[in-house]
Amino acid sequence: MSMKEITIKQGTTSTLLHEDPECTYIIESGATCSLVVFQNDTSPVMTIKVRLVGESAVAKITGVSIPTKENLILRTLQSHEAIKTTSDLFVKSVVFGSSSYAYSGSIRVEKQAQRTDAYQRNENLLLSEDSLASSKPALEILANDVRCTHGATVSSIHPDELWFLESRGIPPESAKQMVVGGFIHSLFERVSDTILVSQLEEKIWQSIPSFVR
Amino acid sequence: MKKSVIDDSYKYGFSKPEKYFYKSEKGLSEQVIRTISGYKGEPQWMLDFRLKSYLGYLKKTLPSWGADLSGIDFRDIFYYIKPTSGKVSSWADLPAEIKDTYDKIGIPEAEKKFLAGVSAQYESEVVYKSVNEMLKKKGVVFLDMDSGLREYPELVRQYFGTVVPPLDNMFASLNSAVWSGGSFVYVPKGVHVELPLQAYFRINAANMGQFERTLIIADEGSSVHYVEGCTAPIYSSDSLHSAVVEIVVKNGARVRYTTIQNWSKNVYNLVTKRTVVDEEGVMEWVDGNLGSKVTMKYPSIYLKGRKARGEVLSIAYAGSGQHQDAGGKVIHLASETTSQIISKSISKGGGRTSYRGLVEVAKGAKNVKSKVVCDALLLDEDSRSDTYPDMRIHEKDVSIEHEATVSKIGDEQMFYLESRGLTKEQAQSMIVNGFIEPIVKELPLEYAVEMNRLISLQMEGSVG
Repeated sequence: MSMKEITIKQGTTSTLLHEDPECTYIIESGATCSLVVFQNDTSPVMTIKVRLVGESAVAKITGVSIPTKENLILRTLQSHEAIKTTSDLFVKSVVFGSSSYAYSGSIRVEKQAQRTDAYQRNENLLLSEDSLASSKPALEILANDVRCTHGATVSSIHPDELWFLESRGIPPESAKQMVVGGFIHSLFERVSDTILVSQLEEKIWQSIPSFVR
Repeated sequence: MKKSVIDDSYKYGFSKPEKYFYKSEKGLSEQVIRTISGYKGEPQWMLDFRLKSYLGYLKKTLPSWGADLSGIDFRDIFYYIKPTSGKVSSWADLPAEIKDTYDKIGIPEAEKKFLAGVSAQYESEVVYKSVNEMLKKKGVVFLDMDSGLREYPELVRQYFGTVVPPLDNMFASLNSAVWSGGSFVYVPKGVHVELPLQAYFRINAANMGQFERTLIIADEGSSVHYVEGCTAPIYSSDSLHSAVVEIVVKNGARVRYTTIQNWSKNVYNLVTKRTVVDEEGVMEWVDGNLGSKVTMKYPSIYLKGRKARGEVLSIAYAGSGQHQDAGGKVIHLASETTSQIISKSISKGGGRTSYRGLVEVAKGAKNVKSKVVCDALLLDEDSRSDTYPDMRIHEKDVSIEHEATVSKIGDEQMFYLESRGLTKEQAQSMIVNGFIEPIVKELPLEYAVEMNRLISLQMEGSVG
């Protein structure tokens, strides 16, 4: 069975919510694709490939993964195949209980894809003693006139943050929720479609366990 | 002396007629290993260690990842060469030919006055060594590995092969079976060695494998800086260099290990370097890879004790036909451990640099902090740069960061410098030297000078 493919036609702009296990997005010249990715326990493995095949194609990927019981895997590929292409990826995970999250993301810049601008960032928040996160990026750059940046972090809620909120009378559970909410919220600013943002917000709050441990 | 060096088309591209005392047959067999061990008059346990490693080696296969190693013919290598009949203790006693070689590399005789000890490796064994009286007084042991085994058999037996087990990987097994030369350093409790200990390495035989084995033990509260510099002459057939370096950092001790690797462009450099750090100990790897055809080297640090710290500073330069697959690994096994990996790489003329690294936090290691920064510079459109960092985090209370950038030299920067009358090459070399400066400034002065000079040479294209 071949992988699902979606083509963003020349010069058009699309904002899409990605929930499929696998999909390849082919972005033609002058087209812009803004992907919003949501992953929870119901879709443990997701593979997203973005192929920038035409001049000045742009891809923006914004993702949230929330494992609470399962071990989630997210794989992404930002493939720059034409000149002056731009990709901008930012995915975050909040890992609950004894679940885990494994991110592996590749950026590949082909020889002909000069003047590429590629960005990839992965931030992970661990909420329990037993949660686990791994981040495995790979950058393969065959062109020279490029700007390619990548970053990853793994952390837990800092006790100072909780102390600050609790000292202002906020119960520990709510304080944790606020910190988690704030961590995810910064992603929403990347998505201009407000309807999509509120859809996403709802999905996120449904996935988060009722009281955050 | 320095001038003649610069005039060479390849800085270290010369070779001297070979003059050997003993040379093993090509290829590897149990017999070759028995001969090596017998020749060195080693104790039975070391022979057993070698044979066990050899059996392990036979079962191992080449790694399926990383650089292309298909060009190595393991049957076509001399596994042991003994250059002169004995060791000499003063500069004057060195054979003229070897002295000449060192002159060309630019080891000044002044080094004798300034440096704590010079252990220079010519072929498979240390032939020249001058250990300062000061070291002896402090009880510091700085020997070649073979002498170390003879003079401190108990100490060697206790630690040898404990940091890098003989069956760790194919090249560690090979090294464990046929090792020869390298350094043995022991720093007693609370002793600080102020001047860097230096070993100069050099290969001078076509198809000759170099399998140094270095063991450094820094006892509680001590500190030492070990410097290893490598240069090798050009040969048409491929050479293999596969060293193992083991470092034991005890409670509160501090070790820095600096390498400037500048093998000629036909050498496969496949090295296993590893440290185990106890409580509040500090390990720093400063690793520069400029030469060789293929380098695969990931200095690793196992932070075993509370509050231990590890740092890896890595520079890689890949020119035409070169692949530098370098990086660093830190495994946090205890709480409150911290680490930092900084990597800078430069690709030019079709060269390929790869950063490959790992940060792992084991279950139970709390309040761990780690930061990884990889910057790559691509100087032309034929070159390639890869970044393969890996993070495996099994604990919640951690702060782990990683960032990587890949870019070319900015047009504005070039324009700025060129408008002030610098040539394109001068401007490039100035920018590249600035790019690697944060690491170069950590090198001992004479290496920093040489490094800057090498980069300038590379940029001017006289090296290709």
